[in-house]
Amino acid sequence: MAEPLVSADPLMTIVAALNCEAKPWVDYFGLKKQCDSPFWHYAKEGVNVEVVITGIGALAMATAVGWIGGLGSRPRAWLNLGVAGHATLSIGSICRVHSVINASDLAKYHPPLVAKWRGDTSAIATVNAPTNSYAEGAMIDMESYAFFKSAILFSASEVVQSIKVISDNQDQGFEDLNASKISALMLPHVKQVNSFISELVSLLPDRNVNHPWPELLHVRCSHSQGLQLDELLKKLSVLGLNEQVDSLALNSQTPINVSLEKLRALLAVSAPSIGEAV
Amino acid sequence: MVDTIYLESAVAEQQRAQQIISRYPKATRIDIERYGEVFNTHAQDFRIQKNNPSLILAEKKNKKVMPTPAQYETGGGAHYYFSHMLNCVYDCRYCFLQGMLRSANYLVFVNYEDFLDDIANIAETHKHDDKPTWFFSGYDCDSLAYEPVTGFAEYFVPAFNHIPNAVLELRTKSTQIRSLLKIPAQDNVVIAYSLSPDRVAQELEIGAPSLDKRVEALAKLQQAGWRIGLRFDPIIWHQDYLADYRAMIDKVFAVLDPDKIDSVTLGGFRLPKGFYKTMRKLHPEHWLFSAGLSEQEGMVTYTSEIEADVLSNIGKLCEQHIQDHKVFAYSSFEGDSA
Repeated sequence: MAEPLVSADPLMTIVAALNCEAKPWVDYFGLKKQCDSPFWHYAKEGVNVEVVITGIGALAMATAVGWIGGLGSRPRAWLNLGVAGHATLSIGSICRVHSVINASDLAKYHPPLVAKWRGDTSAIATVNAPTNSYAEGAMIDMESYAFFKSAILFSASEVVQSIKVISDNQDQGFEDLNASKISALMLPHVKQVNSFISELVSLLPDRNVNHPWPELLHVRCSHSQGLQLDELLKKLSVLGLNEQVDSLALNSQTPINVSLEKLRALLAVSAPSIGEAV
Repeated sequence: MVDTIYLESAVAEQQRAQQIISRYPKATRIDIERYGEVFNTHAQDFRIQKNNPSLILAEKKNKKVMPTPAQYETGGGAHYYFSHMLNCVYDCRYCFLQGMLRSANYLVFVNYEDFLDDIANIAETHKHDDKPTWFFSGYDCDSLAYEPVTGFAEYFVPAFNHIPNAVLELRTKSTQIRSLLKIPAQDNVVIAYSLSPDRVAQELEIGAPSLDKRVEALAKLQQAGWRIGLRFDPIIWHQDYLADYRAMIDKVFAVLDPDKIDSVTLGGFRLPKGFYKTMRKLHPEHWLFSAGLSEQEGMVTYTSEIEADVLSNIGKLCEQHIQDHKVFAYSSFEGDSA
């Protein structure tokens, strides 16, 4: 079983149109329904997986993704989980989406397939209404295109992915589906999907560089000077020059021009040391 | 290993494309109309894609051969470059492709014949020039690193036999030289290796062969009669850089015959400002983007003092082994080579 993701950062957001599609993951991660939310939102303190239930259709999907994407600034991977129809694939089989076409305007999108997936992949066509008219060689659903196009506004496209379980085909239509049947179709794939979630989250880069002198930024200065000071301190920090900066004895009372001048002078003569941790 | 291959419809039936696909029988194949659907699109992240690049097989349309910037000359004559491939199997921390592209996928233009037609046509326009016309490969990819898959050199090198007023320069760090060693050396082909001291290579040239392996490949090529070039570019300024570069240069010239070296070029670490900003965002923790740099006229380079020092010092080291007219230093501040 994939390790539950319990560290503080980053965040995995599972997005599903229906509650029953995401229920196995809500249960697996022990997530709790959050109050005062415009969409059903499941989360748990200390677990960096959350689930958002969007409702059916492109508009609902895009609105929900926009809402959750606007909450916080943690690095976030996205996974759309749900059921889809396909002409010939067997009921219960699972596919990663490798291409999506929006049936209304034939616009295409191909999510970059960086995270490893040990299973089948398929294209998917997004349509506006339930149908038993299956696309040739592609799955069919009502949200995928909107999911991708809205989620990549918040995260790199490589960490915005979709996995579908086949719920209906030309031999067995969608009319008999209900919530418990859909959850039962999703449940056997928890382990495989969780492995994929781990892969996805591992791709999220940590690009925050901080320096150990935040108090120096409280100096009286213009916005531009503050940015220059922050940049210089970050550069000196990644060069491993903390002791040398400390020896300059700067503080928030030091005139900004003096601080900038001394730090620039230090940076100008500081060659990096290759082969040592800096 | 490639997990995913995107195949442009225009080359779906092309023999070279099919040969490449056959090397990856387990890869997922996805049909596309144009490579722009998957390459460099909105919200792509070079750093993340580098974890598992896909392969894109496409047709290069429009202009395939471009004039080089004026300073990139090694001996006069007209100079052009062409790229049958965008991106590289190596992951050099200083590589400008990270700043230029949002996608790290390997984009291979398989219509080699069209490239060759353009090269031949351009060479024809220079047939009365005093000096041969140079065509560089290896700016937007490593010329040889993907050779077993692309067969690039295997196709283009013999073809230059039929363009006598042209010179082909292959820029590489790769030891994939089998296709060259199995054919007779050609007077109008130069194999130019980018070299860095061991410590620099280990830290910055991720995935590339070691210095020893590159020198070994150079020696084999030279012994087989191929013209070779040495590219100390970018030179990376660091503590003890002079000792590191001296050791490398001594090692290189202990193995290679300087009289049979075509040229040596030197250049400091330098990038267009926009590329630099993108690359620093990708690697904010790396010292490379913080040390000794200044901005001037849209370029981020070493400060003039540092660059002058490294070019002068490394140039002198080279000239202890090779005639100075074969050494070309690219200064960011003078606008031409020295």
